[in-house]
This record gives sequence, structure tokens and C-alpha cells, in this order.
Amino acid sequence: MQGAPPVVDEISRPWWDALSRHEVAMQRCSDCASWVFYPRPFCPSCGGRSLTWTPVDAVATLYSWTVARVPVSKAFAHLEEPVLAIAELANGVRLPTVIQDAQPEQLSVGMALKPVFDETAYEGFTLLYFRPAQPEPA
Amino acid sequence: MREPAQCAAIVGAAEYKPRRFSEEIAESSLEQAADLALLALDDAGLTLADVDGIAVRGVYVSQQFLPATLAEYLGVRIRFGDAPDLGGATAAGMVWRSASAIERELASVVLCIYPGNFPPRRSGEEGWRDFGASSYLPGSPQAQFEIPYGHLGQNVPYALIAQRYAAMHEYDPRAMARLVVHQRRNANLNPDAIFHDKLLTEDDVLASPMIADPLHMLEIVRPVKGGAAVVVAGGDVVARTRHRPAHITGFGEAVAHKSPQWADDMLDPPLRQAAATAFAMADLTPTDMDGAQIYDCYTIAVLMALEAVGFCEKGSGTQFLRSRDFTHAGDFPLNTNGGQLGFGQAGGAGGMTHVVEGYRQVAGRCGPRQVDNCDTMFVSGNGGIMSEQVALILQGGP
Repeated sequence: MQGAPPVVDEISRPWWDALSRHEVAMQRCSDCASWVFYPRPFCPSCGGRSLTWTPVDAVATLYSWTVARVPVSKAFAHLEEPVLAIAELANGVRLPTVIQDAQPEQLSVGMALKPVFDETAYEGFTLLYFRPAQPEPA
Repeated sequence: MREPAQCAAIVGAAEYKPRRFSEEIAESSLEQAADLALLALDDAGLTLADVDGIAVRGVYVSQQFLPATLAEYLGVRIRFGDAPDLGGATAAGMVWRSASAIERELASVVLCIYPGNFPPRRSGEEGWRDFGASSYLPGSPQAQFEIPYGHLGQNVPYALIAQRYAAMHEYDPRAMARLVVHQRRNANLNPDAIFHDKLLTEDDVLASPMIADPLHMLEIVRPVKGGAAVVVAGGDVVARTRHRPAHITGFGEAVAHKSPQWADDMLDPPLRQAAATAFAMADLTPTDMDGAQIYDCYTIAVLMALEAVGFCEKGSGTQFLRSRDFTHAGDFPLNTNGGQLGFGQAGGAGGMTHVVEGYRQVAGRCGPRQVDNCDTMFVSGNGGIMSEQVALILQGGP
């Protein structure tokens, strides 16, 4: 088995359903308006239990990145030096992710990213990857 | 504030000479825990009859009931049992919990023990689901939002912290290499260190393979097998021990997250709060320290800790690494037994090596690597990925 598919639970199913439509949706607290991610049955900012799934524009900036020059585990040994990163959305939420279509030399913290809806990693799941918003100069 | 002599103290220690990771260990982890207990008690000049508390981890004969299992095995009846779950901060966490228990008269002599082996690996179909410190069990956020993306292990998250640091502040791989080399010089004076006989240059560090940008292989600890224990005692017992006690005059703990991907600010580790609590308790400042034993699984962990504790200002760590002398005779003695980068990391006991060395320096027992006139020592523990951190301040008795 390659990789490790998401172990989905009921509370987060809307996240995965939205991704499968190539959309991004997150919980937002009805009491204090905080964005909540990863999904939970409550708001960790105020303790409120009234959360609403809300569409999010998935443009982001690069918060940090690295290249896994050695596999992170046997299950991921099939990947050749993946660029692993944290993307920061405009709403402040940060996401562990993978950067596609970029050489490490092109990457800089703060650069603009756009979403990639990846259906190749795991059958039946869409993962939210990112790529540089600007194509590489010719 | 209490006078140092009113505070519980570390009065003895034992530490196995590290063995290669590939070496099979004949004894069970329970046998090792008992052996370390007896060695540490003997070091202190105490016996099993004095023991009324146990803090223990790293015993893999069962999933739970660790203090009870070891108490039964040692044949002692205890009034304080603990098995802190703080990763690399567990050892330092054991010490302050023991000191607190002693000062509230729950116990008078507590063994803090960590055999430095590793849990048996699962095999077959179960084996590929084994992601070390990351949980792939149903309901774990990591199983849904981290592991599927390949965000697991230690190298990647520490590299993410380092890369973020490099974007926000001055970062210089050669300054990191210099730290590794200074710690190696300390290891070269410690016959127990796994790298005792191996000299190292900055160029060697920079030429070692890139593991996860910007971290090179030699900026990362070498896993070994080992184990260590200390004895914490209070009250009248301290006076009948053999060596100069290291009183635990300040301590603090802070836990921020499991994975740093979810940190509010990746560059603000919980050690900042833990150290501030410890210094306030001891009524001391970072400049009062005669040296420091800082948890050093990665070079970036040391850089971040130096700033978080207040040994240098935030963002100035690279300049500090470039300008100070971290050898035992230098102007900032750091990880004087070689640290984990020079001594080796014996699993969860890696955190105990800093406690043991901090004690031995204050007790004046470090031989050729002894820091002159060492009366105060700062010790830190770091669990997870800068997730759960503990600060200790040790002060010598009269």
C-alpha cells in the first residue's frame, strides 16, 4: 500500500465532500466568527458549538516548506523528494500540504499559491495541494 | 521564594554508555529500569529502603501501570507514582513533578528512570501503519490532515520551522555547523559519548547529506541505545547523600500543540513560558546561569531555545551561535557532555542525558569537561516538535 489515505470521520466529511467538487469549505463559528480548522464539533476560540460550513477562496501564501530528501516513512518511499509545505489562506488558516510543479529554487516564504485538487494520491479522495500562482519564467 | 537548600535536589545519577542502535539488548526494559535504579541509588549513597516514589517511562513490558510494575519489581511501596507523557521533555517533567511531590511531603526519595530503548516495532500489515509519533488511529487529526500529505516524522516539521525562521530572521548554515562542532568538542572529552573518538569540522557538517532543507544529516541526532536515571530527594535525606546536591530551585512547563503545523506562531515555542516561570520561581535570570543543557535533537531546536529562554534576543540567535564559545571552557558552556548531537539519543532517555549532565556539572563531577565554579545550570526538555517543553534551574548546595 502506498501512502496513507485519510481516516475520515463524520465531523470532517463536508471538508472532503467539498474537495471532491473542487471547492474548499471550512467551519466558521456563528458566535465569534473565528474560522475553525481542522474540523471540530466546537470552536476552540470561544467554546461555541454552533459552526457553519462556509465556502473559502483557496488562494494562499507559502508559510514554510521543505523537501523530504529521504522518505518520511516506508509508506511514502514511492515519492521522489516531495516538497512538503504549510500554506496560509487569506482567512489565516494554515494547512499542511504538498507543493506541486515547482523546483525548490523557485520557492520563497510568502509567495502566492493557488490550489491543486489532487485525485491521484488516493482513490476516492481529493487532496488539497498547492502550486505557485505565477508560472515559472521562461 | 525558597532558599536553594529548602528545595528538593538531584542527589545521584546513573547513565548507560550508549550502544549502537543496531545492537540487540539482552535485558528487558524492566530489568534495565531496576538496574538503573540501583546504580543511581548507589551513586547517591542511598538504598531501596529509602525510596518512596517512582517516575518511570521507557518500560515496554506493558502499555500502562508503569510505576506499579516497577515498584512491584523493585519490592518497594511508594507514595508517589508517575509516568509523564511529554516525549523528550518527560525526564525534565519527572524531575519537577518529583520535586513538587517531595516539597509537599508526599515523598522523600523519588527515582526518575528512563531506560533508553525503543518499543518493539509492529510488523506485517500493522507495520506500514506505524508512523512513530504520529497517530493513524481513527479520530486522530493527524490521520486525516497530516499523514495523508506525508507530514509525519520529525525531520520535516523541524525543517519547516527552520525554513520559516530563515525567512524571518538571519539564518546561516555555517553558524549551525559551528554549534555542532563545539558540541562535538565536548563529546571528544566525554569517554561515554558515541562520537567520543570522532573529530568534526564545520565543512563536514555542511557536506553531510541534506535530509530536509535546510537541515543536514549531522545537524540531527544519532539514535543509540542507552538509558539513564536520577534520584530526587528532599528534607533530611539530602544531608546523608554522597555528593554536592543540585537543588531544583526553578521549573516550568508549557504545552502548545501536538504538531507545529497548527501552532499559532511556529517561531514562538512553549519553552518561552516554561523558562519564564522557572526563572521567576528561582528569582534568577538567564545571565545568572553558569551553563546550559539544552535539548538538541536538531540544531534548529537549540537556536529556537536560546532565544525562547532569553539567552539572546529573538532573531539574534545566528549571531549568538557565531560569536559564543559553547565548549565546557567557553563563555557559554552548552551541552557539555556532547549533547544528544555528540553523545547520542537513547530514545526517550535523550531528555534524561541533559538532566544527568546538568546535575553532574553542579555536583562538580565532570572531570576533564567540568565547568569551573559551576553553581547554576539551566536544563531544558523538548517533546514532540517544539510541542511540550520543560525548563529546570539547578543550583548547587553549600
